[in-house]
Amino acid sequence: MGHENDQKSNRGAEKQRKWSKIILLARTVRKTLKRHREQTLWVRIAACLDYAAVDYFFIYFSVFITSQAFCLNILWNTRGLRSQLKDSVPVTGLCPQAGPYGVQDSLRRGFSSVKNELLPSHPLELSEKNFQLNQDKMNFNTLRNIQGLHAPLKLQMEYRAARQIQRLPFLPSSNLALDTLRGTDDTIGFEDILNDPVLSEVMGDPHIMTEYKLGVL
Amino acid sequence: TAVLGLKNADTPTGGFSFENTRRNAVLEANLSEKGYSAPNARKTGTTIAGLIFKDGVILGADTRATDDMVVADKNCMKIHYIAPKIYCCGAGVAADAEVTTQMMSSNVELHSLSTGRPPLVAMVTRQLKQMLFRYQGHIGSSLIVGGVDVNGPQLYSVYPHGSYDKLPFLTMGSGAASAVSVFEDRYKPNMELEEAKQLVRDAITAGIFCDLGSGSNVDLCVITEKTVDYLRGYDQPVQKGLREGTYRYKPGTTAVLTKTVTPLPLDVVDESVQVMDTE
Repeated sequence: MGHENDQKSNRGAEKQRKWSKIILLARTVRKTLKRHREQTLWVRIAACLDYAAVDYFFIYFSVFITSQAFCLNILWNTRGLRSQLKDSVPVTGLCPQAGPYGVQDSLRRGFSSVKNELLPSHPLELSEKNFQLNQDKMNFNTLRNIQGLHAPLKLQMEYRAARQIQRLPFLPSSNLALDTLRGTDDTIGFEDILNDPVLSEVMGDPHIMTEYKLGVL
Repeated sequence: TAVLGLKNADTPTGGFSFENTRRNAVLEANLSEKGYSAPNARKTGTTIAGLIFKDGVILGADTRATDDMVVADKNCMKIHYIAPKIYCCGAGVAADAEVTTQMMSSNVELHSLSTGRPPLVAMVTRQLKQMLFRYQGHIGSSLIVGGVDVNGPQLYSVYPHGSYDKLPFLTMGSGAASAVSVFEDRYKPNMELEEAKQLVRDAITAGIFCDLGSGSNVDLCVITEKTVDYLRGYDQPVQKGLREGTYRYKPGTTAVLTKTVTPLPLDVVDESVQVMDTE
């Protein structure tokens, strides 16, 4: 009887220790994920695995995956639309006022100053740059409020698939599938009349662009 | 760094390009120091008006386009086609009004092909106001949209920042105040066609005479459920005056005193023949 009780209590204590370890590990996983928020999925998994004890591998691996999925999709919107909004004019390369030859281009961009680099030059510049993204955000929010979370999730999956249908990196793509999904395939706006990328006079160097795309550069 | 710059360029999108705004700002600042000013966009300096009468809508406009204080076009068309039964008068910056109405016309055509129904005036107004609000008034076009659709005759005015009004009579442009005074005085609901045409003509004429930015002829567009009458040059209140006298001199007015003729002799210096290969 005592022996059974001892065994039970032993098992109970073991269970408690296991659970406390799991809870502690979940906490460290969360901290790691927060620190590596901007990295890709595999980097995050690798960082989390550093904390895993080899003997508890299976239990804790499943904890990693589920906690990652939970944190990523619901707690922090790391790949969501808000993180893609641009809140400043991007600085390309090391020399912000650089023209195509890498030297300061005073004729086109004026004298270089901190204000020039950070602030937009026209009140509409930022709102136009982010316009499509903001429209999508608004539409997805409305859809979520009306139909539930499943509707924007499914649509966003289709958007991601459609966005991957592109020609080679230095050629202009028609984005027909994306346009059809958005409903802009039967509207004409200024983005179709002015500065059509098909008619642009400059093109990136094909070799450099493909190497950059493939990650070889 | 040149390579990096090219590589980091985002995929080019269409639409407005703000590359030159900084340069333009610097140039304008430098010019204004010396007393010059950058050229302004040509405005229409207009009187446009619209009216709902018994059977439909009448739109009226003058025909002068101004470039600051100079008349740039004495006979321009300010009533633009949007759909078979929907027309739009444009005031403000001439290019903006023109391009906006053309884009609206294309969008309306695509939309009605997609829905399979004739377009509504409210649809045109909605697209216009959404577009103008998106650009926060930098597209300076004020428009009066009028037409007949399944809901009857409709008249809307859209302002450059994106607000709109739905009223039985409307005027816009620099001569709006003069024209609306005529409307306020004599408008009655459910007028007859001739009376309504006369009223719109009077309103535009008031704008032509009382406003410097409006002039030349009066154009009218009468839209009813059955027909559309585009009356270009319906009235010419301002005629060019006739000169009373002539200022030409009669031949023989000036007497010839002396006459000398000096022939210029030319000698042939060199002659060369080049044979063309015509095979």
